[in-house]
Amino acid sequence: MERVNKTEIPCDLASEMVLSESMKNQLRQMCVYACLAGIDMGEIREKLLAEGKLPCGDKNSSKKVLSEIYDHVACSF
Amino acid sequence: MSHALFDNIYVEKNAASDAETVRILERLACKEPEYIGHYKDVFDMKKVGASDGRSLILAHNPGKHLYEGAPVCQSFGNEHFYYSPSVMNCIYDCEYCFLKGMYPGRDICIFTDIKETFAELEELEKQFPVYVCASYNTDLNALESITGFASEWCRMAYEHENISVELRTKCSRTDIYENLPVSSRVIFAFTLSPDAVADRFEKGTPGLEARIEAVNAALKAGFPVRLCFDPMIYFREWERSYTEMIEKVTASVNLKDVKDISIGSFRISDQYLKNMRKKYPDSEVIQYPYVCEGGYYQYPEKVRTRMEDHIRKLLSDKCPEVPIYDWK
Repeated sequence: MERVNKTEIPCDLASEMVLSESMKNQLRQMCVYACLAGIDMGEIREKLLAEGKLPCGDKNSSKKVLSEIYDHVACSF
Repeated sequence: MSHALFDNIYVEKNAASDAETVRILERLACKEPEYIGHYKDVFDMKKVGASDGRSLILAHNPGKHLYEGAPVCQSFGNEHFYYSPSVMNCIYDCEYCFLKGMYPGRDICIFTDIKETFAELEELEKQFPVYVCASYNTDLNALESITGFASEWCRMAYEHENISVELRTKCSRTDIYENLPVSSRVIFAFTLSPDAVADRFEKGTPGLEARIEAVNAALKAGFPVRLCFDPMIYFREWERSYTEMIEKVTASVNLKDVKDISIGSFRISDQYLKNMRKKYPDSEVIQYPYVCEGGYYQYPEKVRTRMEDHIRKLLSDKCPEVPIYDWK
């Protein structure tokens, strides 16, 4: 397990989470879609920061946050 | 030789003398097609290099003429459900279409040995009633001026009591139905989409109003008609767009005359989506973070249920007696 270099995913979120390869791919796909659908990932990140959910110190909390990000990105309309 | 619709027209040498080939070339006023050894020499873009253009290929089908329906396809209660790939690819350019993940390029390949398909079908119908989706890998109505295959499938069903045919289409032509032999075993299945979806994701297709006119033309001619709100696409304005579409459809089509309705949100096999994601990095509909269940990518249950329930309720309220099928 390693902290994701944020350059791998076009999003600050990556550096604030502990992600497996599969989780990185999921986040990458969410970022790609968000960009195309006009969803502001920065806004989602700000919300998670304000709620104290970011940064995540381990994989388990990252998993929960990833799932929350998914809901924001994939189910927001 | 080029044609208004196609950059080039190719004919496989062994298909050159087929009656269908001759007829199609006549319809296209093509006197000098380019002859090739095998359709894959052109159709397989991996071999010849990708191009934006589109060619027409007339060839023999070296594979199966009939396939059993995939799990993501609706069988509408038919036990023996098949589809026929008599034409590969479609003149429309729908961004989400599985054909983009299935085939290597956009060229349209017409198998002119359709009589072989019919012979195979006649053998099957001796064993059990067969339900065939004839327009699964293309839009036969949209190609009718070139192939005449929609008419041939209609005749096939008209003449065989054990054969039912579904012709799925987004085509707005209203003139073809009155010349076809009417049969309760030929179902014209119209894919209806909100204009926002047609404009954004279904390049080259007619708008909703034009499709509704075609629905009414098929009904007037006496054919069973299926309305397909499938695939439903999730996007920012989906709820308003689909609501307005249902209002328009229920105001313009007498739903009591419709055989049935099908509802389904977008889903696609995992391999096709993987191929498409590489080809279309800027497509919102392809890059959506779908969930993979049983080898098929689909919207998460929350989205799926919301969309399908919404449209089902609107339709049930307007016309509770029309059967509604879900793809699951």
